[in-house]
Amino acid sequence: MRENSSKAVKHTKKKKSPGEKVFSAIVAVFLVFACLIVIYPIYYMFICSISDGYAVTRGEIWLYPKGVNLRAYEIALTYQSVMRSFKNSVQYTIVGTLIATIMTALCAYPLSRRELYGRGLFTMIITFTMFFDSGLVANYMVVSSLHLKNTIWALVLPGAVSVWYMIIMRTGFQSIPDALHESAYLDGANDLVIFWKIILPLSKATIATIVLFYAVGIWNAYIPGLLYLDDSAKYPLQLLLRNIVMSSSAAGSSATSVAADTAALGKNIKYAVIFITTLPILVVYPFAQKYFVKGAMVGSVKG
Amino acid sequence: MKRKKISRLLAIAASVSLLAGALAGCGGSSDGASSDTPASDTSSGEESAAEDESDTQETQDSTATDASDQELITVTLMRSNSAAQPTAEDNKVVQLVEQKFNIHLQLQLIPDADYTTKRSVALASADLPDIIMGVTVDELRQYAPTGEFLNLYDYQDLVSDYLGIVQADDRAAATKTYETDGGMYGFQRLEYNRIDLAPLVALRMDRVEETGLGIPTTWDELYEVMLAIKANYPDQYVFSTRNKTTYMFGQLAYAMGSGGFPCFSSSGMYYEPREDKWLYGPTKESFVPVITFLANAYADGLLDPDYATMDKDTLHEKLSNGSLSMVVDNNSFIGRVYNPALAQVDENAMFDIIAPLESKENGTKRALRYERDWTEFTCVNADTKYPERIMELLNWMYTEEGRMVTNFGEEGVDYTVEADGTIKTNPDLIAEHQNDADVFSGIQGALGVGLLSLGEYIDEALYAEVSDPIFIEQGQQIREWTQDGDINYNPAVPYFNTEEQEEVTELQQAIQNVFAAEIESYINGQKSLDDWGSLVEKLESQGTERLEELFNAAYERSKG
Repeated sequence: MRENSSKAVKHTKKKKSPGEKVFSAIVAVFLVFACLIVIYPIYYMFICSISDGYAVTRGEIWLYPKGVNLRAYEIALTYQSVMRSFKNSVQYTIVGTLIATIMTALCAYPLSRRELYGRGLFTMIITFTMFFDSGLVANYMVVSSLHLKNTIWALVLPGAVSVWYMIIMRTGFQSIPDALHESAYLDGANDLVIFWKIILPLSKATIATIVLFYAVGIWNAYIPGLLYLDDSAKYPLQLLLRNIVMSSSAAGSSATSVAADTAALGKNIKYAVIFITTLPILVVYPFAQKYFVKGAMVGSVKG
Repeated sequence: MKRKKISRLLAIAASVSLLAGALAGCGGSSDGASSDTPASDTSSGEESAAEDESDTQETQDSTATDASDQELITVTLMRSNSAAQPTAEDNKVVQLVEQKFNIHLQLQLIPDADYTTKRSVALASADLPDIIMGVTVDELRQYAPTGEFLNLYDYQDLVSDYLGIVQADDRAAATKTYETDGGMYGFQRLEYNRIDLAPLVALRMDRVEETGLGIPTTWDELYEVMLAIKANYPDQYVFSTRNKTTYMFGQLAYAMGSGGFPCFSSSGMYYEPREDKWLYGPTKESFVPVITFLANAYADGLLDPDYATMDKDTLHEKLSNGSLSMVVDNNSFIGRVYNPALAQVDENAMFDIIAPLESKENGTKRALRYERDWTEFTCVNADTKYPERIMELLNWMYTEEGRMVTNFGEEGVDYTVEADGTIKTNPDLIAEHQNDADVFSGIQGALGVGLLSLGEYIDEALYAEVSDPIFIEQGQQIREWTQDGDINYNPAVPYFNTEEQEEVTELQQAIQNVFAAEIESYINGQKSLDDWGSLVEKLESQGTERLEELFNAAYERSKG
């Protein structure tokens, strides 16, 4: 049977029409081009970071490095705050993702059950917050009044449940056949058991996707760190990174002295810092990609 | 059943642990305060006050013998932190302040790129540290009346050194413009000794030499030189500026005898010294030579057509790789960016500034430099527990001793004063920072001194030791031109009351919308300069005369 089917495939391949071949070629070229669009900025950043600073300033680097040296990395790594902030970011991402995923799942599950009394009302109230935000100052005052400032909780609690991700997760839970739920009930399982033993194991792809969404979101977030942390020893990496990347324009806006004018970092140093800081997420992404693709499709096809 | 019970217990335990975690987080801020002491809590919370006392005890035992008789206190200070000059948290200034005043400065170093956001939120929510640096004039005027800051005039005895400087004849008029409702609510950051800086015309001297025309002294001669360079390098444009169109007008208009958009301003208003008045530049007859110069330069291929979108990096790239031969910008970029990068590809290539040019049409020879001092202020939280001691500390920064500490560190350790009075930085300190991205910034950040750290009365003498000599030469040149009256300081915008400020903002927005919508078409030739009068009429119809009236009324008022 398997032999037959492989023969069939071979047969089909042979029968590819010229039009199909052209189409495949166009698709391949398009995909290669799309890959280059994604890869080139990272490659460019890397070759600039290992090139001579003045060659970068002159705009001579675009295909390969010139005057290769690692001075930019030496300088970037002397920023003691880079490693410290890196550690902070890892901590915030792990704790934040864990809390956010648990809270989102706990919110999504009851809202996925048709028998929940007032489900529509709860959904409406929760969804309302997605469109109407209380604003920066109000949020700041709440966090400050709760004495969360300067703690990890200021970064991980206020955004613990993203309504959008909760809706994705709820839709994922809803796609699990009711029959499984009912039979578990008949076997004496309560909601917690069903949630733990049936819903979660069947929603691995959804959860992996949400974990990835949250992790990337928390890793990239700099506004909460800026607002709620006063102690630079607790800053996340992105806050530091943003400061380094924006340093030349910040100096430009207050260029009223030699000190402010000259205190701008070379592009190669900036790129070195960006490269160092984006590397972890670049490494993790491919491994989570299979879940990401699967999970992102949740709810897209009914039935 | 048993399994069901276990599940329930597990669920309850999970919920309790989650709740406990959250509550622990709530308590974390106060628990952590003894070691990390969050800023705002220190000056306002009861708990923090107690912690301060215990901190005091602990630190008192370990502090130096020079400490004053007063008890050790912790004072929070918020300021921006430059990426290029990261300020060390426990720096020399912090240590010396603690020794002298028994005040432990707890720094809240906020990333420079987002300091405006952080400051705005802190001011809007009135959740301030004891000291906040970098407050703008607008913020000072907006929040001083709400009672967020202490009035320096209520502590005249404690801030006499500072008042002595800002109320001296050379600064009194400017100081008056920073008063709000008759009060003074911030310590202005002042210059003591500065390497002079101004946005001036800089030319590729090697290319000027090739033309055989000599250094231009008038704008007409400059145009001839640019045409000659274009003839030699027909594939290249000759000049541009950064930060788009209004900035370009700011760099050129005043220097050509007109004005508008001075020094990063987005408003066409400028101070005209010949008339002792504030004017809206683009509607004046004197502006015609400016727009004509640019339109001709565009038509002749001298002005880079990317000028309208040009950012700093792109401009520096073009100047550094030889694509452009003239720029109007800060002289500080020449020695640091353009010349070293150019020297690698052509050892004869070099930019240099030229003296302010004469405008035949407007009968002027002048250029504009940034405001004297900095229009940013250090304010003291009105709710601080230690108003007198903080005032005393900030005032000290403007004394001889405080100025030296906050600009050079510790005498005998970080620097020495030579017999002739020159300051010599410890060579070991320079060597230690030789491999930093920038030696000057490296030293200043480590010590916590200078403009980008804790300096309030700025002395840039350290620059002379660690910088390209061209910096210093140009700085001296600019100082001479300033003393000769060829370069003028950009004056501070006069103070408006709330109603006036609203009207000014509205008018400026409406006028700028019209200007921005049409100005490019006059430069790139889509519209003839014969129609320039129609734009002037449109601008006037938006209220340029009323705007001038408001500015001049406020200006006259500020004269007292």
